[in-house]
Amino acid sequence: MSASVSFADVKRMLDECAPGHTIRLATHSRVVTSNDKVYRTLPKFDKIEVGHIRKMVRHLGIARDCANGFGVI
Amino acid sequence: MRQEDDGKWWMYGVRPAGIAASGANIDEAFLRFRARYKETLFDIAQEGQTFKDYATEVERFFNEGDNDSEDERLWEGALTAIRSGSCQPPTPFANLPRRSPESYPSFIKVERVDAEAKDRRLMPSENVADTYAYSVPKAA
Repeated sequence: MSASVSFADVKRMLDECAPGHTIRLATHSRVVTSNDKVYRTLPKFDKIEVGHIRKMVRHLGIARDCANGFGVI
Repeated sequence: MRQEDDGKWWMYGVRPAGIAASGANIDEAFLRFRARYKETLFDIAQEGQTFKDYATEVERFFNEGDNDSEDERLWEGALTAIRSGSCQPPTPFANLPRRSPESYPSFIKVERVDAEAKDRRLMPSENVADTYAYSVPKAA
């Protein structure tokens, strides 16, 4: 398991696995919404530790099989 | 809190659920989790137009569980295992204070305590340092 992945890869995963999602920037974090849920704590860095992505996937209810296909969790 | 394949300790939120933080040891993971929690409250404060907006969003953030509730199930399973005596605390947790989760139920209450508050003032005795603990075994 890679310790971190690029935000570009995370975005590609969200585009495919969480259609209709939104991402906005708050002062300290990225705020991702999907399925009427909000994940407020995605780091703003270009490289993001996989643990954050794993938690976001669980929180937003993104299909793990789909996310696994992008190598981000 | 668990050690992942990357060798780091990861603290995954249950309530609030939408936070994760890592560290080289459990203290660092806890400190980074706290910092992330605080930063999120700051973000919410910057977005709200009124105190009511702030309170509503903080409560939503705190109470919104994970869609799959996996971390909550893992936490409950770990608590059951500890209380049954079927496992011993891993070394990093061996010296933590022991507490009963029932004595510290998770909840959040947002109160206004500044000069605009009508009937509420913050007392010094209400300043309580946050910390973490390991569950006590179930009493015989």
